[in-house]
Amino acid sequence: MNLSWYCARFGRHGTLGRLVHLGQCSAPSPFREFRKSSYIYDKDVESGKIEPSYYSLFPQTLKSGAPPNGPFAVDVRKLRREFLKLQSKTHPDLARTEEDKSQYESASSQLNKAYSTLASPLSRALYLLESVGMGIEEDAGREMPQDPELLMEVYELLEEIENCQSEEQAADLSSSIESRIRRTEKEVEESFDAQDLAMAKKSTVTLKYWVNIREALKEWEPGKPFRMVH
Amino acid sequence: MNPLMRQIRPVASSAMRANPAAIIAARGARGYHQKVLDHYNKPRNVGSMDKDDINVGTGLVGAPACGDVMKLQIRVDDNGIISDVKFKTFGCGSAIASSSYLTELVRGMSLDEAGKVKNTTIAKELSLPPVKFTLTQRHIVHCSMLAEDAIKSAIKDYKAKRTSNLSKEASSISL
Repeated sequence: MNLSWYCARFGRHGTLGRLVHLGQCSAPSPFREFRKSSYIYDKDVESGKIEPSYYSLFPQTLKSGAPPNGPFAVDVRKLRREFLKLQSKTHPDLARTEEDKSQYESASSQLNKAYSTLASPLSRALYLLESVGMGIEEDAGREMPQDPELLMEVYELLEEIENCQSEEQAADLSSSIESRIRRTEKEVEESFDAQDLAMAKKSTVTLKYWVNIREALKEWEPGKPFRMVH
Repeated sequence: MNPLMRQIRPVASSAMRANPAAIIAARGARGYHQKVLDHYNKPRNVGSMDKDDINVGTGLVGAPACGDVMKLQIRVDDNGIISDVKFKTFGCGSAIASSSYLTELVRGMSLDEAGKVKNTTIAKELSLPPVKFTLTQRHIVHCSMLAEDAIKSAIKDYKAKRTSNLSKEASSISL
C-alpha cells in the first residue's frame, strides 16, 4: 500500500505520519514519519530496532514513549483530549480535493487505531508484546505452555454464566469478573514496568481471558442459551 | 463494539484487499459450511464425565488468542478402546463444530489411533475456513487445532492417571 501523499496546496510530497499535520503543512511536523514497509511500528533500518510508533503520535501525553522508556500506565483522559485535538486536524471533511480526502481518511483511521489500541490496557499490552515479537497470536495456544489452573478457573466461570438464572446472579458474576480484570491489569502494568516480558505475556493472556468472559457475560439474558460471540 | 474490535476490523479488511484467498476465507467465516452449522446447532455428545474416574481422561485446552475453551473427556474400556466421549466448548461456531465432530470421530478408536488424529482431518471434513484473521495478518489460527490439542491432552491425562494408579498399587503390594 502506498502511504505517500501529495499536497496540492503546497505542491509537496509526504508520508502518512506527516499528513496528520497537513492542515498546516508548511509548519514542521511534530510527528514521526511512518514508513511504507511497516504500518504500525517504526523500524530503524540501521539498528533493526522496532519501536511501537503509536506512542509517537501522542507526544504530549506519552512524552517518555513506550515501556521500558516510559511507564505502562497511560493517563487515558489526557490521551483522549490529545486524540480529539489531533482528530480535528485530520477530519476528512477538511480535505480540499477528492484525492486529499482518501489520505485524510487513512490518517484519521490510523489515529483512531492508535488511540483505541493505547487507551485500553489489554490492547496496549497486546500491541507492546507484538512489537517485541512476543505476540500472543503467534502461539495460537500451542507453543506456549497452558496454565491448567487458569484454564480450570476460566472454564468454571463460563459454566457459572451458562447456569446463571437471575439478574442478581449475573451482577455478582460481573463484579467478580471486574475485580479479576482490575487485579490482572495491575499485574500486567507491574510486569511491563519491571521489564519482565515473560510475566507480562502470561498476565496479558490471563487478562485476555477475563475480558473475553466480560464480553460473553454482556450477551447473557435470562433463559437465552449461552454462547460465546466473537 | 469494543475498542479491540475497532482496531482489528480495518486490519482484516485491508488484508482482504491484498490477498484474494483471504476474501474466500472471510466469506467462509461469515457463511459457515453446512456441516459446521449442523454440528453447531446440534452438537453431538455434549456433557461431562466424572474426572476422578480411573477410566476417564480429561483434556482442558484454551486458545489465548481468541479466548475459546474446550473440555474433552474420553472413557477407555479394558481393551484400550475409547468407548465414550463427551465435550463442552465455549467458543466460536468452528470450535464447537470441531469438537463435536471429533467426539464422533474418535469413539471406537484405540488410544494410539486417536492420538494420531490431525486437525487437518477435522478441518477438511467440516470445510472450515482455512484462516482466521489476527492482529497482524501473519498468523493463522485453526479452531480445529484446539480440538486436536484437546484429544491429545485427554489421552495424556488418562495415561498419567493409569501410571500413577499402577505405581500406587505397586507400592501397596511391596508394603
